[in-house]
Amino acid sequence: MPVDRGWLVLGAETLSLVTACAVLAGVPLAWMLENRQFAAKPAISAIVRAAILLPAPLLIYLLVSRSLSLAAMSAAGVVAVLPLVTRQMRAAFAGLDRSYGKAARSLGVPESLVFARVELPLVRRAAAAAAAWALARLALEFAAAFWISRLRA
Amino acid sequence: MTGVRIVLGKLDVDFGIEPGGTAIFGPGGAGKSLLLETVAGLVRPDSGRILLDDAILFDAAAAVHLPPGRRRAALIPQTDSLFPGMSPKQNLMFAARRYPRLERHRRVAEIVDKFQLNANSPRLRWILARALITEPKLLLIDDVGLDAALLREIRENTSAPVLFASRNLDLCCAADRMLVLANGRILQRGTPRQVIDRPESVEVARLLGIGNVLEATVGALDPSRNSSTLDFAHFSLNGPYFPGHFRGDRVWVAVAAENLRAHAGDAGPGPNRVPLELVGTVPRAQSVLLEFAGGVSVALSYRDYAPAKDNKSWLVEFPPSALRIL
Repeated sequence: MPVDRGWLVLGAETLSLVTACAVLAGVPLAWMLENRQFAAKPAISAIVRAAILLPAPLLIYLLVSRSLSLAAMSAAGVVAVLPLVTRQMRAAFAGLDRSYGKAARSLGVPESLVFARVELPLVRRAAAAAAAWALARLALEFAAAFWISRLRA
Repeated sequence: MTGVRIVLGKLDVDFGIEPGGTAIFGPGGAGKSLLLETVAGLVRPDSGRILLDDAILFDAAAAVHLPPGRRRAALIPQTDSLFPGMSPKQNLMFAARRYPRLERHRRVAEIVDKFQLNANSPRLRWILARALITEPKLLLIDDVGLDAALLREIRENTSAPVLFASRNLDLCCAADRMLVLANGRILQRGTPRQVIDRPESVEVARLLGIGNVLEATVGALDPSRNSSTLDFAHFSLNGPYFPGHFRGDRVWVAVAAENLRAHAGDAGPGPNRVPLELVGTVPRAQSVLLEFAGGVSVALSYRDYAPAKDNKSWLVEFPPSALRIL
């Protein structure tokens, strides 16, 4: 009996995985954009801003219509919610008291530890909120993409 | 050699950092925090040079800008900076993480003992201990509410120069040197006593809270008798000879409110006693500030003020030795 993979990819496992990927990539990216100066920063900031305007259902539909693989769905999902997570987390990092980072840096704490040990614990609630939002948004996007693909079929 | 010569926007300073404590005194917005952050390497100046023990931390001409972690200049920011995700002791362990495990524990135990830290210790003491555990070559302390006793304790526990920002003049007096900073520029430098006793400008005198800064004309100068006459808007005073001034010069005269004396109107005339009308009183912690017409203020202890508070008229005495020409 054929299995409807469309329902499977909409399963909780996939959504959780995609959300986790978006948060794992989005939080450090947000911190970098907020705290570091590097050559590609303006370009990445512009891409993140522009990506929010991308019609995510369309993006997912296009990917889904060509392949129903888990990887394609996941990639489309990460692309769809990464800018949202990044933007939300950037606002959270911007709202942090800068004293912690300043004190840590002057004590010789490397940047990776300033992020992981000093500032990340302070935005964990914002990260949880961003993850919940991404999960909800992904569920909607996947459902929309699934129904569009069924209508097309 | 340790020195700072930097320009960053409005901030334009040039000073040496010597062993001991150096206070940066100035009002809010003077640039004290920016100066400390620039020395710590958190902000890059537009131009200049920063040296610490002959090591170049920043040199605009040579494009050298050491990151904060390599400067060994520990900064204590203005707000509570104890990392919230860790206990105070974990903060110390975290700061000392570059040492091997046993050495780290030894250092933490040692500094906890030195600063007598426990669960009830003020957070500022933990923050100071955290900064000192890294053995900085320079300690930078923003306006965090230090007191003279704590400053002394810090200096007992480190040989590094301490550069601290404060708006508290009493605390600045506990330093070895003092810089008066306003609008990003150093207005005066010297020992606290030199700066407080001999402000070089009206601006410094006002920043130091010297109650009376009055405009006058030099009416007479007699170096042979070491005397002068200063003509104010409504009265004249005799003062010592003021070198470098000429008859007819318009000058600013500063007199601390604490150095003036106020007498009852029937006390009789005397040298430099001027009848003035009392327009108000301001109670302070240790004294009452009597405000007279013409912008003259006199600080009187509560003990001296109590029997005189019903006076109908007042005589204000300006001791010649208290007059300072700015």
